[in-house]
Amino acid sequence: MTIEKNSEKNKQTNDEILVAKSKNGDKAAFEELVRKYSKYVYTTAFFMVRNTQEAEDISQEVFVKVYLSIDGFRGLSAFKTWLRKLTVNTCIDKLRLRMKTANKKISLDSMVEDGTEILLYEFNQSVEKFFQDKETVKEILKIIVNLDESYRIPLILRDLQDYSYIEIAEILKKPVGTIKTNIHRARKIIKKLMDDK
Amino acid sequence: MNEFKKFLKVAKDIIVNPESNIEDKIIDKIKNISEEDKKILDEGFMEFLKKSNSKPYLFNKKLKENIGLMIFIGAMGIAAAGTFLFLEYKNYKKQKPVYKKRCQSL
Repeated sequence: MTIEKNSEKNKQTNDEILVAKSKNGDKAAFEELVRKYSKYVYTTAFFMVRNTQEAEDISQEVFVKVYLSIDGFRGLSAFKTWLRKLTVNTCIDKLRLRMKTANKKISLDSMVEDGTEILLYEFNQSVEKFFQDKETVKEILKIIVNLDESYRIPLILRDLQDYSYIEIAEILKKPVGTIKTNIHRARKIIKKLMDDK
Repeated sequence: MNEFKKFLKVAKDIIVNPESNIEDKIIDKIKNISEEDKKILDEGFMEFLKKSNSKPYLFNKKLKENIGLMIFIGAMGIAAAGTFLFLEYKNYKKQKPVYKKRCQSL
């Protein structure tokens, strides 16, 4: 646990250095930030908007925003936290603009066949257990991706992005009670579908 | 439910590999930012930037998120103050006869 905490702290310190260098106009430092976090931003966007092309566009938009405003980032929160919030906000704006895909069913399988590969990082288990768990996680993600938007977005923000209920309510402009109910229902749906398999 | 939570925890480490080389696309985009691109720094974004750089806003948010802890700290404070007042009162009561005597002598 201590090693994990130290490694997290090192990552944060490294980010602080890269951000400071970027503020001074060091393009190589900013490129390193892009290489480090582009897939993270893309994954967050992908699960929220359920569209590979749009997730790419959002990733580009997020990094352009970061690049143009990095001077204004005071570092009151970790860079990754700031980036995550910016990504989520950008996704919410896009989702508000288009409600077309709200009930569209997406097949994660077909996406994997199309070249969208799902990887698991920092997963220290035996190879056999790794494959078993990876399959289960993929099954859960397939269900999440196909959930109705009113369930999917709060669930992703709460369980995958660690947002608080209050934060989610603020972002989605809904009462905290509604958010809690929707997340509870979403978890129940996933559990039921997993039990049925 | 615990098993489910375990898998959701694992799901946090998931990375979806983009179809194309997204890193290079982003770097290319950054090298060629136009005046048009600067329009994405709209009112909503500036508001986000302002909030994320505001210590009072972040503190207030933390307070709101930890309301249970704040209530607990408040209750402990009231209990401590109550205990202190009670002890002072007890002390006062013990001293009362002397105080009364003094008053009478005056």
